[in-house]
Amino acid sequence: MKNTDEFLNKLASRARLEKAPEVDIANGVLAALRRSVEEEASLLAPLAWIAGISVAVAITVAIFALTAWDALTSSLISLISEIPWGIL
Amino acid sequence: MPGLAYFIYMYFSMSSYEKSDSSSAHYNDDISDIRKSLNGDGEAFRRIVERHQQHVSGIMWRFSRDPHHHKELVQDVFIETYTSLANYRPVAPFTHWLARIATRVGYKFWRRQARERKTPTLPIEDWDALENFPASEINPEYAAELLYRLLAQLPPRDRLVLTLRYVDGHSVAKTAELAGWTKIMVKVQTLRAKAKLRKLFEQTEKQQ
Repeated sequence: MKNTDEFLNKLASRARLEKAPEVDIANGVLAALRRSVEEEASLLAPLAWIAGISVAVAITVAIFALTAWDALTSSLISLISEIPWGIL
Repeated sequence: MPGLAYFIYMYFSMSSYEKSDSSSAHYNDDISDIRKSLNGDGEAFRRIVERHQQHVSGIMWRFSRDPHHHKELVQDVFIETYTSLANYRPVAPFTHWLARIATRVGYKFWRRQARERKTPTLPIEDWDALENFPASEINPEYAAELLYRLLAQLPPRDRLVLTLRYVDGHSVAKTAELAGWTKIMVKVQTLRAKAKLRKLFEQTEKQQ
């Protein structure tokens, strides 16, 4: 091979005349995009359920904690208020 | 969902582009369909695909001559286009932006193939005889196939630069834009790739 540049140009000038195959991929692309949106949604659905259940459990625990705290503090206060009488 | 600032930017960029270059026949259709696609209109994106699929097919035919892979690559280009559509800035025609995405998708495909060592075999040709053969008598399909298999022997970077510079006939600046490299990088890579190709020719000549 004497001149790589010339040889490449010669082959390329002919190769450029070749026609690429006709494609019709619009339906395929839209279907693939729809699939990926659905996949994303199906991946998010269990996470949404877990988040919902977590919120429900957290609210229940908070309600129980508040009522328990109320009960605890009122008995503490009554206990403390008894102390001065006990001393006297 | 794109903000108001994006649409204002699109509007002003569009007017400045129209003044600088009116050669892009589909420019207004593209801009209108891009806006609609960003608002979730699937039919608008279908129109974009239908308008540009043949152009992208031509680009991807350089990256794979296997009809199945080729079709998949064209699809991948439009899927990537859709996911990055909000990043498109209409300072240049949409086709230029699309060509950059197509080059990136094709290059990734070559790199994957190189990792899996799926390179086509080197054609056993009498290079000297072919060199003396008149260009007009070489069949375009044969020339394209030969070039494809020849360049496939090189690493993906060398293959990309020679494909863009020689097979597509792009300038250094255009090659740099498509590959996302600097102009100096393109020049250096071209020299290296040609040196490797010369070595390849010498090796096959010795074998013959």
